[in-house]
Amino acid sequence: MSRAAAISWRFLGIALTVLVGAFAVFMVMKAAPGDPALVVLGEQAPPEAVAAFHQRYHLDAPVLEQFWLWFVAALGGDFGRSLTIAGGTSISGLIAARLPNTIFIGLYALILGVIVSLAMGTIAALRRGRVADTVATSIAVLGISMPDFWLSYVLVFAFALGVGWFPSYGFVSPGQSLSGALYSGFLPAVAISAPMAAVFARTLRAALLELAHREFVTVARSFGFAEVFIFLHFVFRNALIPYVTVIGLQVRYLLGGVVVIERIFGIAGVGSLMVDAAFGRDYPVVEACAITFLVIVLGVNFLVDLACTFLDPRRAN
Amino acid sequence: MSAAILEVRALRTRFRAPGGTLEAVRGVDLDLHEGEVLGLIGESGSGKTVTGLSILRLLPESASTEATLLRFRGRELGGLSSEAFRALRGSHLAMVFQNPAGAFNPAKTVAWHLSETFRRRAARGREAGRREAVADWRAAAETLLREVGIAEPARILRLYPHQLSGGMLQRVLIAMVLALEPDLIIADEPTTNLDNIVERQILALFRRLQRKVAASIVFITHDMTVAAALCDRVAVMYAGEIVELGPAAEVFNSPKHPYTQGLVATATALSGGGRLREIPGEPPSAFERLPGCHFAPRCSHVRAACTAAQPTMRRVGAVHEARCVLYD
Amino acid sequence: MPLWRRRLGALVRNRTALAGAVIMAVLLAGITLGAELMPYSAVDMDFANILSPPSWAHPLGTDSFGRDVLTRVLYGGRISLLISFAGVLIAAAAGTLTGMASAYHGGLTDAALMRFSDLLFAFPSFVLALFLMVVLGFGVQNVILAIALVYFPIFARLARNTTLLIKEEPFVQAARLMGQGTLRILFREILPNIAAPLVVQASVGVAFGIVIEAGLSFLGLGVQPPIPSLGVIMADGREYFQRGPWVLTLTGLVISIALLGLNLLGDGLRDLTDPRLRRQAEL
Repeated sequence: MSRAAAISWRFLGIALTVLVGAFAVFMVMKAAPGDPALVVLGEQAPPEAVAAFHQRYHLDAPVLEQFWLWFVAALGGDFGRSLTIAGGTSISGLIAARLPNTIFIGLYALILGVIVSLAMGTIAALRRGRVADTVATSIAVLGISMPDFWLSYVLVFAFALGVGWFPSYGFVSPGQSLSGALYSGFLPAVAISAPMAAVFARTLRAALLELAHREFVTVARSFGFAEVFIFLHFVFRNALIPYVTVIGLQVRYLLGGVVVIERIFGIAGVGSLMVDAAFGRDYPVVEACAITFLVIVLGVNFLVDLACTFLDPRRAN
Repeated sequence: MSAAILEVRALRTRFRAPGGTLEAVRGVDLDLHEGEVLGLIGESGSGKTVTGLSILRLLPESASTEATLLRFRGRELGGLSSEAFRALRGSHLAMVFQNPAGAFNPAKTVAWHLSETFRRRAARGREAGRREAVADWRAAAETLLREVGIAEPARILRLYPHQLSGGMLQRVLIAMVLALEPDLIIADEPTTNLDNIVERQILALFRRLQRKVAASIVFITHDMTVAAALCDRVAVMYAGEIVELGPAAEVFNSPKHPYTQGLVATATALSGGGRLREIPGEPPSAFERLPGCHFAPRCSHVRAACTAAQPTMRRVGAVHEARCVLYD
Repeated sequence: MPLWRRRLGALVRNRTALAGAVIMAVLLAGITLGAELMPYSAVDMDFANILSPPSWAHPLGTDSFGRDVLTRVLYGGRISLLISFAGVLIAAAAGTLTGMASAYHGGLTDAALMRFSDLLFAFPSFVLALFLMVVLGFGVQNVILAIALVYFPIFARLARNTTLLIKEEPFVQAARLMGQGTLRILFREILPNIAAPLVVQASVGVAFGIVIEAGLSFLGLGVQPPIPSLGVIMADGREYFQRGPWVLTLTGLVISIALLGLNLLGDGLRDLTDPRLRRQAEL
C-alpha cells in the first residue's frame, strides 16, 4: 500500500489504542476502592450531600454511560474538574498549563542524550578495544546503573549546592524565558538523560561494530572509496536504524524519569501534577494524566516509526 | 606472450584465530598476462578467495599477508601505504564479489551506487592529471546497464537492492566494475550463488565484455567446466597452494596432478552422465601443516618421496607445470 | 567434562558476568548475614547521635533519629530486593505462560493477548506503576503487583517471539505427532529452549524493579514507613538533605551498586547465551 495509506492506517491504530487505553484507565479507576464523594465532602458527609454529589457527577449512572459521557467530553477538550487538589479547576486547563514544561524537559533530556550517545558510541566503536572504548563503555554501564532521581541529587549536591553553578530547585517555564528554562532545566535534564544516553551509546556502538564487518564494506573498499566515506554512508547510515528504534523504545523510561524529577526540582509539569493528585486521591486528574502520558508515548512511537520507515527502505513497502 | 600485468611470488596469508594460526594461502606464485583470463580453480577452503582478497588488500585485521613479490604493471605494491593502495583500487584494480545481495548498501538506491562509482571514476582521472569528468552519468549508467543485459535501466536505477533478484544484482555489480574501466579484475565466483540459467547468461556476459573492455581477469571458481569454457589459462589450487598451472584446454584434456585428474574426472562424469567417482578423503584443515605434499593422504599415486618434503613445481609441458614428484 | 562445569567455566571466563556475580554475591551476603551481624538494629534510635556523618562506628552515618544508616540499608536492601524479585517472578511466570500459549495457539488468541500486552506496554512504566498504586492503595503487596504488571508485557512479548522461532522446529513437531499434550510440549520442549533470554531479561527486570520500588517509595506512594525499604530511607534522607546528605546519597549509591551488579550479570549472561556473538575469524 502507498506510504500515505500506511501512515493513515497507523494513525487509526493509535487512535484506537488511545480509546481502549482510556477505557481501561477509566474502568480500573472505577474499580478502585473509595467513594469520590466521601473524599471531597469528607467521611462524615450526610447521605443527602453524597447523593447530590453522585447525581451531579453522574456517578449513579451505569458505568459504560459514565465512560461515554466522560470520553465525549474529553474529545472536546473537557476532562472534567479537579476534585481535591485544585478544587473545581478545569483539568484540561491544568494539563494544558503544565504540558509544555513536561515536554520541554523531556525533549531537553532526549537531545542531550542523543548528542552524548552519538559522540560516545562512535568513539567507542572507532577506537574499539582501546582505552577510549573501555572508558566509554564503562561510563555507559555506570550510567545505566544509576537511578535518575538519585543522580539528580548527586548533581544537585555537586553542581548546585557545591559550586553553585546551577539552581537546586525551581524551574523557569520556557514560555517565560527560554534561556531561563535552559539554565534551570539543565540539571534535571542531565539526570534524566544519563541512563538513556548510556543505552543509546551501547546500541550505537554495537550496531557500528556489527555493520563494519558486513560484506558491503569490503565491496566498497574494493571500489577504492575513502574510509570516511564508507563509515558515513555504509556503516553509520545503517546503524541509525537500530539507534532510532532504541530511542523509541526508551521513551517510556524517559517519561518515568520525568515524573520523579519534576517532583524533586519543583517543575510544574504533568508528572508532578499526577503525583500531587495521587496523594490527594483526585482520581479524575490521575486518569487524565495517565492518558496524557499514553498519548505522548504513542505519539513519539509514531514519529519514531515514521523515521524508521524513511531510514530503512526495506520497510517502506 | 603478452606482458605480465600482475606478478605474484610466494604469497602467504595467515589468520589469527582462537584455535591458533590458520594458514589459508601457503606460498602462491602466479602471473597474469595482459588481456588474458586466468582461472583459479579449487574447492571451498582451498584458499582461492583469500588469494584474491590478499592481492587487493581487502582482508580483515586478523589477517596478515606477505609476498616476496607483488607487482602490478612492474610497480611493486608491497611497500605502498594504505592510502596509495586505495588509489589503485577502483581505478586499476577491481573485484566482482560472490554474493551480490550482500554487496550493496541496503539504504541506498542502485542509482546512488552507480553515481558514486562514476564519481570514483572521475576522481581517478583527476589523480592521473587528466580530466575525465562524466557529466551525464545517468546516460552512461543506463548504457552500461543495457550492456550487461538489463532491459529497463531507468526503472532499475530507482530501485533498492532488496527489490532486485540475485541475477540482476550481479549484473549491476558487473556494470559498476565496468564503469570503473579497471585494468585488472578479480572475479570471485561471480555465478556461484545464481541458478543455472542466470549463470550461463552471466558467463556469456563475461566473455563478451572481456573481449570488449580488454581487461585482464583472474576468474575464481570451483567449477571446472566454467573455467574450461571461459579461461585462457588455469591454476588449480589445493590447500593453499597452486598444484597445477597451464593453458585451460591442456589442463582440462590432459591433467597431470592427481588432484586435477580427480577434478576433471568428476566434472566429466557430472556432465557426461557417467558414474561420479569422488576423490576419497578430505582436504587438510587450514591449521595443519604437513611436512610433505598436502594431497598425499588422498592420493592414489603416493610414494615415499611425497611425504618427505614439500614438492616443487615441475615442468610437464611447454607452458604447463604441476606440483608433483611423479614428473621428475 | 560435565555440562554444568563447562557452563560454570564459561561464566567465570566471561569477566562481565563474573564481576556482576561477585558484586551480587557481596550484596547478598551483606543483606543476609551482614544485617544480622550488625550491632545495631534497624529501629534503634540514638538521640545523642542524630545526623552524624559517616564514621567508623557508623560507616554510612546516622539519620535524623540516630538510627544507623548502614543497618537500615542492609535491612532495606532485603526488602527492596524481595519486592522486586517477587514482582519480576510473578511477571515472568504469568508473562511466559501467556506468551508461550499465545504463540503456540496463534490466531485470534494471539492477536488478543498481544493487543492487551501492547496496551500495558504503551504506558510509561513508572506512570503505570504510579497509577496502580493510586487504584490499589499503597503498601508492599501492591508495589509487588505494580512491578509485576509493568513487567508482564515484556516477558509476554519475549516468550511469544522466541516461541514463534522454535515452534516449527522438528523436535516440537515430533512431540506433537507423538501425541503429547500442549502443556507438556510447552514445558518440556519449548521452555528450556527459550529460557536463556528470559533469564537475562529477569536480571534486568529485577534491577529496574528496584528502581521502580525506590521511586514509588521515595515519592511516598510505595512502601510506607516504618518499613525501611531503600526508597523509604531515601525519602527520609530527602527531608534533611542539606544537613545530612549522606543518607540519601549513600543509600542511592548502594542501589546503584546493586543495579551495576545486576546489569553486568545480565550483560554477561547475554554474551554467554547469544550464539551470534561467538564470531570466528572471517575467512
